[in-house]
Amino acid sequence: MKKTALLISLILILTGCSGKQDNTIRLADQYGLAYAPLQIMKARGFLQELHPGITVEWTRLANTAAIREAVLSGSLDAGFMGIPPFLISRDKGMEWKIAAGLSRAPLGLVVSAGEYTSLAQIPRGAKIALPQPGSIQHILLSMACEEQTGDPQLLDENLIALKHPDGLNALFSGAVQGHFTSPPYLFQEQDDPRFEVLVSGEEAMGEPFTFIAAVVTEEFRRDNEELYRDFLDALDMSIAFLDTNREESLDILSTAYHMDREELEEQLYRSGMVFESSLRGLDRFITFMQASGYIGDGISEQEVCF
Amino acid sequence: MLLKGRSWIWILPVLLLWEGIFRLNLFSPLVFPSPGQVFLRLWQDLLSGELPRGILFSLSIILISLIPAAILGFLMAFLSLRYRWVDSLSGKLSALAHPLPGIALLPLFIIWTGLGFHTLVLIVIHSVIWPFYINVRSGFREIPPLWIEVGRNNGFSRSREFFHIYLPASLPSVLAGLKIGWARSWRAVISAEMIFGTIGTGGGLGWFIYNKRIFMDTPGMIGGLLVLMLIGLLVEYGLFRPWEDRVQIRWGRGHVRT
Repeated sequence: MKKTALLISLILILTGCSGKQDNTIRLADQYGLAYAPLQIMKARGFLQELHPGITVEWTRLANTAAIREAVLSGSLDAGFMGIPPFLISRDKGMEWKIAAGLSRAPLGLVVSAGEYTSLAQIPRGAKIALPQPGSIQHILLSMACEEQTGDPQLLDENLIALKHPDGLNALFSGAVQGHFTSPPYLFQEQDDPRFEVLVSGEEAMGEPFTFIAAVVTEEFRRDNEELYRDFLDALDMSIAFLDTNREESLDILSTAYHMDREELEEQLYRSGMVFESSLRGLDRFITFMQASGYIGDGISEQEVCF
Repeated sequence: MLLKGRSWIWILPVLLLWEGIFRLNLFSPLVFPSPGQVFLRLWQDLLSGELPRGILFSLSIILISLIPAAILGFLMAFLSLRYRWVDSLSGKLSALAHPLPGIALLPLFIIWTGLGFHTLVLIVIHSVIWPFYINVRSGFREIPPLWIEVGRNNGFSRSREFFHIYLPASLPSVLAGLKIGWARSWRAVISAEMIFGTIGTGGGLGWFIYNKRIFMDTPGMIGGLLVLMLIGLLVEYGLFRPWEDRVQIRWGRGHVRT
């Protein structure tokens, strides 16, 4: 009897965690320059300004999988991530949608300078590092393979999943022959004369695309429409601030990223880094991922966006 | 022993409770799938060959690493007995290296030796060699001096001393070292596979579970964890326990386990 009571109370405690919380928004971002507007939003308190009395809880997570899991467990209301991993989660039935874009960034496959002129030249034994299967880097490389040779899986046997910093080390030490990555790692590799970009993300996509998007749970929007609107406005304000208040932005960001001011300025305003809330390339991602079997046919552009 | 019915009967209420909680619809199936979903997915992954390949991959890494690690560890322990400087050197080395998790060394192994099958092997060797050495060394030290003196009085040569006194006398500690080594290597290989894996050709069981996580296949992920536990049980009850029992009986310390 005692045990049953204990068990029931345990279940109640466990399920009680996911109740709605008023006037609190719980957000998760990841590490990287593509998330710069969020640092501005944090430091300037734009959301608090638009929605007085609100509590904003920020969490930094290591990857998209961790964000998805935190949302599933009810500990987050929104997260920032690449479109392909979001589409995989949506396909699996997670109830959240894209609310806005955040940034575009140059992505690319970095190889030894002068080594290859096309993807087809990469030999079977050569290794290419990228974060994980189904990541935006993997999808872009598959797109480029399809574009150049007709076979999206051309290089799948060559791929090794490694986190960005490990991939950078592996490339520099010669342990891998290619690294499909994003800033700041891409910039570091590009700036080394021993390496060059063989295929860029935009070449692979054939059009500009959103790198990082804001994804919000349907439940949160349902229960907090006003706060949701303010959240979007605060995002816009942060993006605008980055463009108009350069000096102050650099101050905030060099503290947030522990980076040298000049280096940060060079990377942040480098061509290809674009901060904007409009969403690009979603349809192309959906079509490609459906054709290659990553997601089912039930996903459509209208259905995955608010 | 493994299949002795009674002691495993608790699995049934656990499964029932699991199914019961699932039916309460408290959680999304992505968070808490039903046992049926998990076993169905497990069956599919077994049939597709993905899971058997993963198991074979991980086990082969362990086998390949365990043998050289055990030989090296044993040699270190034995030479420590003979030469003082070896003892001092390996003692210091193991004190420094033993607390280091293999995973912490992964980035260094990658930049020094490159990426591939051998990186995992190195990590497993590292995780096995130190506990194995420490066990065998203490096994050697516990050999009663009388045994060694009996050998000397009978004019045993060095090699005879080794094969007839040291080797058999250290068997229980070798076994204990192997047991710890197996547990360490299993953990090391599964966690290393979760840090890096080959996307096209697949990897071991750790990679299998990681991949299920990436593609949000929760039933498949839980299935992978169940297989991990099952292999652990099989090795413990199918290999180590019977071996241990035999050694214990031979040493006159044990009795047949019931």
